[in-house]
Amino acid sequence: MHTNDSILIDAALSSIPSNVKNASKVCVHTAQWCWEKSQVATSGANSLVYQTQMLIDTTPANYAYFLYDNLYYLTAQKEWVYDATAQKIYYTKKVL
Amino acid sequence: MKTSSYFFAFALFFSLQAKCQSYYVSSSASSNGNGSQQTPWNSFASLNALLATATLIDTIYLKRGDVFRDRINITLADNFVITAYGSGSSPVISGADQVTNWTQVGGQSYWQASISQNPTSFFVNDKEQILARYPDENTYLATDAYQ
Repeated sequence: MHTNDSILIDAALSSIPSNVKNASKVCVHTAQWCWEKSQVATSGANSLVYQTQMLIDTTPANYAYFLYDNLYYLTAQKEWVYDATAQKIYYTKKVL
Repeated sequence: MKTSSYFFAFALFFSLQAKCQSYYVSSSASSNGNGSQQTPWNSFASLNALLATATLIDTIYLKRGDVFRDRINITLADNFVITAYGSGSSPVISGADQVTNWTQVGGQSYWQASISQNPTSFFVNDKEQILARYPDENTYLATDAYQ
């Protein structure tokens, strides 16, 4: 059954600081053809509350997702992130 | 004697043909010229101003090797050819802005630069780079449940 969903629960979220989670966006693979995105509104140790609801089939719980849009995630080579407040782009490899 | 009258109809066709011009543009030109090959325009600004007046244009020549971070305002009524002149690689009309003045962030392994617009993609040497994410590219977390 598909329903409008607003909270994602995952024990793996406990490894990310709450201030980082709260200043992130989340992208969830809600259907084979669909990736839905939302700003994170609030978070708990193991949960995220979306700012924009997503249409979720609640029966299979194992949806793939990732977090983005925060400098905290800038860890691998060739990764970039944009800080809209500071109007700066950050990149992990030197550009000349 | 039978007299025949011959009527000759003369049709005079006047072809009023407007003069079509060709113009040259080189983004590497130091100053904006008059659109000739000798002194080309250095952006699409003069071309767009001309197009706005519905002037007939035959061909627009873009200099090979140049990158044009600009746009040509074309309407359905326009009918001209855009091609290249000079030597070297084909000219490029790019929708991407160039990011310059990178500085290393103190004590960090990453670099920063100022840009005023939120980019949708970021390319280095024509190769798209990876939007920073957790977990890293091609790996994902899996939800336990929803509410």
